[in-house]
Amino acid sequence: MSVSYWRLRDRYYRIIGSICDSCNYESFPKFNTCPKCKSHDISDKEMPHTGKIISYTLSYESMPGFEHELPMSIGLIKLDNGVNIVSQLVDSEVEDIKINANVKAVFRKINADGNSGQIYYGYKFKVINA
Amino acid sequence: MQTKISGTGLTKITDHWSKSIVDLAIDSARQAISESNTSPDMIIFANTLSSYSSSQENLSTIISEELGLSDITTFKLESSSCSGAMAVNIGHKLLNSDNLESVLIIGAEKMTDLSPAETIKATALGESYEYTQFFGITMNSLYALFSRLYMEKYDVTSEELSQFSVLSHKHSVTCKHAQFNREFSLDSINKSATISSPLRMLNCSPIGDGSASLVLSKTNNSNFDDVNILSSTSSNSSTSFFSREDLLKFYSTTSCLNKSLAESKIKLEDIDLLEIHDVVPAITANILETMGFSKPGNASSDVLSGRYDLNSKVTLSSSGGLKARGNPLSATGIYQIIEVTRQLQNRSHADLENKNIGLCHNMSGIDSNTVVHVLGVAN
Repeated sequence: MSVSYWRLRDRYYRIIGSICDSCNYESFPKFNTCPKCKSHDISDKEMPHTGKIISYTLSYESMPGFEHELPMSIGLIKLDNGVNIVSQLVDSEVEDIKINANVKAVFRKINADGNSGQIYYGYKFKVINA
Repeated sequence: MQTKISGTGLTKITDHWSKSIVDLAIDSARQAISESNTSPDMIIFANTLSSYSSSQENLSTIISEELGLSDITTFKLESSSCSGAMAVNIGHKLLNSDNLESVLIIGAEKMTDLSPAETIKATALGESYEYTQFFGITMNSLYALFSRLYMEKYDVTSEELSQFSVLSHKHSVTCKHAQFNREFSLDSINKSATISSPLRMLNCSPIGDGSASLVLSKTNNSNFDDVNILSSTSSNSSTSFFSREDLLKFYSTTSCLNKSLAESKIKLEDIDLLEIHDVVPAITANILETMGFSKPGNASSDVLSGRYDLNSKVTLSSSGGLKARGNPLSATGIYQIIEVTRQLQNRSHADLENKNIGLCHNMSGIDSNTVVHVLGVAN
């Protein structure tokens, strides 16, 4: 996982997606062809770090390496620029996780290669003003 | 273009501990070849997990050799959960554009050699590794996010949507190759363990091994009635449903349906048998509503009123669909086509009358890549 993580670390740390230079369409994750106008003139764009929950779930099953996170809260979040992102929700009471709750991005450990291997970091979101 | 389904074969969907993916593929392929009374000119092997679950690729060559078929064209086709129907789509096109008489389509998936956590990862391999798997986002959690959006928009509860799970299990009771041959009450479904809220275990399609095969040919040498592919269409949209303008709109399904009706020259009301990608209830409902079989938000109440029962005008998932027949990913689309074929030939487990046209809808992800077939008995 190390090399792909290294390649993407800045996108994971700062939530960097794309903006179309022709029609200003924004999206996360990054794209190479604008889904809206099909332009190839694309630039990196840091997404807003705040938004609202539009759907959520509490998951009781995990992929290898995420067992310690269970149950895992996951949100579908509409960021302040209208772009949707799916993320784990942390540092939030389960009863505060609801539709239209305000959230902000936080920097967190995502996973690790065992006890002495590489640690992977990235974005998660937490409920604010609950 | 004319393609006939001249051979079918399948295994029961279950935990096949003693069989490898090759053993499973050969089981169903031999049945299909035997039924068709032909030797195929080409083999397309549909599969999506073999490199992960069996540490094996080049399976089309291995399986062809094991079937004793050499000096033919053989290859693997991977398109996540719709690999099976996509292989039929490509086989149908090649049969009609090349100097071929028959094409063998084999779909097989070996899922139970993996640990439970690995299986959960396996079902998410079709989603972005970098932005979903990396963060531990499972496929069922994406289905759950979609389900809550559906429930919010149409003010439908998860308990009401569970009517689809009741229906699936009711239809699979007499189907011998189905993974489950028992009914579940609405209450027991709604009290089963939560997998990813609001989805419960008995709302989600199960994990199972299985293989299904078809022989497509220009002439039917089998002992069964002609069943023709009246249309075969496919369409893709964004891989992730949450990057779409309208999160609940199934763009690929809509496009496939429109192209299918035009190509087959049938009307929606002509369809008697429906096999759709009924992987969780809200997605089942949204497919039925997208296609126009139910009004938006009404599909679960239509199930309750009996609209999709075995002996109704439009039968839904007559062998239990993905939930109760089972969902061995790349084989699923082929199980669907076999179900409709055998119903049209009056040789399925359920003795349904006056069924002439069937529609099969198989997709990967949440409508990210969709394939639709319309099948009919020959006039």
